[in-house]
Amino acid sequence: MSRTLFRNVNILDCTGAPPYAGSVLIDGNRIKAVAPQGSSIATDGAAVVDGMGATLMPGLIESHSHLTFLDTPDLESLGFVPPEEHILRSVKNARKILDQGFTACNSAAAAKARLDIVLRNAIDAGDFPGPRTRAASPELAPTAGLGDVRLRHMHRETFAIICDGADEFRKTAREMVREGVDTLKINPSGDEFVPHARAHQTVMTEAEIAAVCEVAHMHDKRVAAHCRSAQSVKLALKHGVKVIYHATLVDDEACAQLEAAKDWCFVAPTLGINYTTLNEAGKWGLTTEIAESMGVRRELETGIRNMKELKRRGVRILPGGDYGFAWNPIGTNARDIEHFVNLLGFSPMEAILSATKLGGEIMMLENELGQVKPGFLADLILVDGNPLANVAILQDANKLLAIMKDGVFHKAPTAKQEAQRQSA
Amino acid sequence: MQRILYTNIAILDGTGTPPYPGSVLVEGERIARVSGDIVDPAGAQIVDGEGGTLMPGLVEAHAHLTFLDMARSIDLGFVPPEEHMLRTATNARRLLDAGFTSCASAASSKPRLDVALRNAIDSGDVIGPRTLAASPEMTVTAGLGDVRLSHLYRQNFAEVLDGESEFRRFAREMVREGVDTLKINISGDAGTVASPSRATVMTEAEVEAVCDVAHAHGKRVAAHCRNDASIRMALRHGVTILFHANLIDDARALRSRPRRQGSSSRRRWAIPTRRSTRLRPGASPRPWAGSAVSTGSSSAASTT
Repeated sequence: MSRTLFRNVNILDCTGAPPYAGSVLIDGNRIKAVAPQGSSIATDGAAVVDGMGATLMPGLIESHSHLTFLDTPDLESLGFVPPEEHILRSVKNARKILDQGFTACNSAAAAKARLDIVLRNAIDAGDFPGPRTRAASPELAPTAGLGDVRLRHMHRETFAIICDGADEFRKTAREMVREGVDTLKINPSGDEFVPHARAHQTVMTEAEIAAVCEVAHMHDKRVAAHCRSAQSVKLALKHGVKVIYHATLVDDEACAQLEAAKDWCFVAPTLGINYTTLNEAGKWGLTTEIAESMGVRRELETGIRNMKELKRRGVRILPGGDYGFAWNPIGTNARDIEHFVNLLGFSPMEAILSATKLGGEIMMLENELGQVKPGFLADLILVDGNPLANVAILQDANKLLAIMKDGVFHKAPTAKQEAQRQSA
Repeated sequence: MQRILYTNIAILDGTGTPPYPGSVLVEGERIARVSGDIVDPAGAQIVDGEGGTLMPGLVEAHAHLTFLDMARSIDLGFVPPEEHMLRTATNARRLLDAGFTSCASAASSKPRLDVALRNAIDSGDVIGPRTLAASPEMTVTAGLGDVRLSHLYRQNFAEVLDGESEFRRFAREMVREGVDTLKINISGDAGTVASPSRATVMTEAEVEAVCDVAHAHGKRVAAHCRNDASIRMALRHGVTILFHANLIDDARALRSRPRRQGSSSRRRWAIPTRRSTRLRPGASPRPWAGSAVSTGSSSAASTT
């Protein structure tokens, strides 16, 4: 079994403790020992990486990934991509996000029924490089809901499977379980860019939500829900949905319910997509003025206010910003960590913990992933600099001196990099 | 532009001349100079061949990059398109790793796999050889590739079609999807009980329909032809690639000009896959006068 010793590194272990100098020994795919400077560590036969003071921390974890989205400027373009090309481009995305230091992804929906599953299996089999992935279904949505891009006279598709009635939702959920998803995704609320299903509107019936949740619980799967409206959050919680995406328009009652469920549910607001839609989509004809007229600024500002309240109540809030659209492309996912600092008032440590320690929890690997601790999985990044001083450096792949997943280097530290650091 | 100079090599240049020592300068994607003398290496990355042989990358004339080394062809049918595409990408890399820089596909095992692979390789997304993409094997009910059971659907690498209009429609669909080559199974094959090698199972009208479509769109037809009648039928309609051709009665048939207008100048290629000779020890090799004979081994093919 291969052993790697990182020595002379600044360990940001993401337990919440401040960073400290030391060494970390990897044995196979796990962290074997973490030794602060001065204490000894058995290093027989280990390949030694001299970090020269760089920061060693857990690989980043994306709580709302869309590895099968293709950075398109609209929803329906996804539907025009045949499955063969789609899986190849998904593979490319998986590599791209791993290159950016994301070693694990909790998918928030696949763009076609089997893509996430096939991608997860191919990565796990070692056929293609990519992060650990929890595979999701497409977005199960009702007619006129978010994701229904059909025209009356012509079929079109995007990332949704349209279902109406508890029976159809149940059957689709079962089919996706048969194909092998980890997560069933549902769209109980609309979104501001959907004219016929706005963010404050709750468009799935309780029976439909209940049907999917029932299937998930029977088969030990998890449900993730697109819930912008307060009512959709309440219905999701009532039926045991563990991953609540957005939660931007929660009211007092929904906040209280989320607080009561904080030990078993996660919230990911996905600030990235709202931020870039408002500020950076002009090139695609979506100017700030148009975005404001769609209600995006109100949505973002209300969401920020509500996230601050949920944080105060101790709800687990994770970064992950719906990356996978033209103006919010895959690979820029670490921007959400900066958004947590700049927009939500998280300290850099809090923001980083939400992308690592809490990431391990949303990956359902609470005691194995997202921290630098003995026994944990060896998903690590070696960062040139101190992310606590500036979380934005996590967005720069050039600052990632090494990327290790499951004890194997995806990006090996090179002598050249070490030389550059020495001369710098 | 990137420049690479190979020095200290024996050049096996693929023109037919014996190898000779020299240097080869590559500029960008092309060979710029081949010389027996020293070439000015200014700005070029130098590769010292240390006396090794520099030669063209190998070319596979009968590639099946979408076949998956399975014992039974029906197992191909059970692989969904997403996994199939990924395993195809892995095959492409594997074949390039083995020195094959080009492949003429002899059939794709699902309609779009070859096309998507070729495009992904050309765009640099997947690592693999230059590829001419083929359709699946267009065959007839009871022909090579029809693995359906009467009570249960199964598939492998074939599209089963009957009648001139079905062949024509499917050929057009494949042209729309972007194939370079339309593959037809004119003869049967050993292992296909209902259609052995000596059986010619496509009708003249069916062959003609596919060839019509190919010629109309500037595509090429490749045909599985084991017996003499199937070869003659293929030639009559301007099929330019004959796979197998092992039960031919008179190789002079390959010298005859096809009747079809406009295709007479095209060279025809007969490709005796290795399996055909191995499975048929009694079949004597024929002189392939007048036609180009290429090699290909139906690797990863099976006989179900």
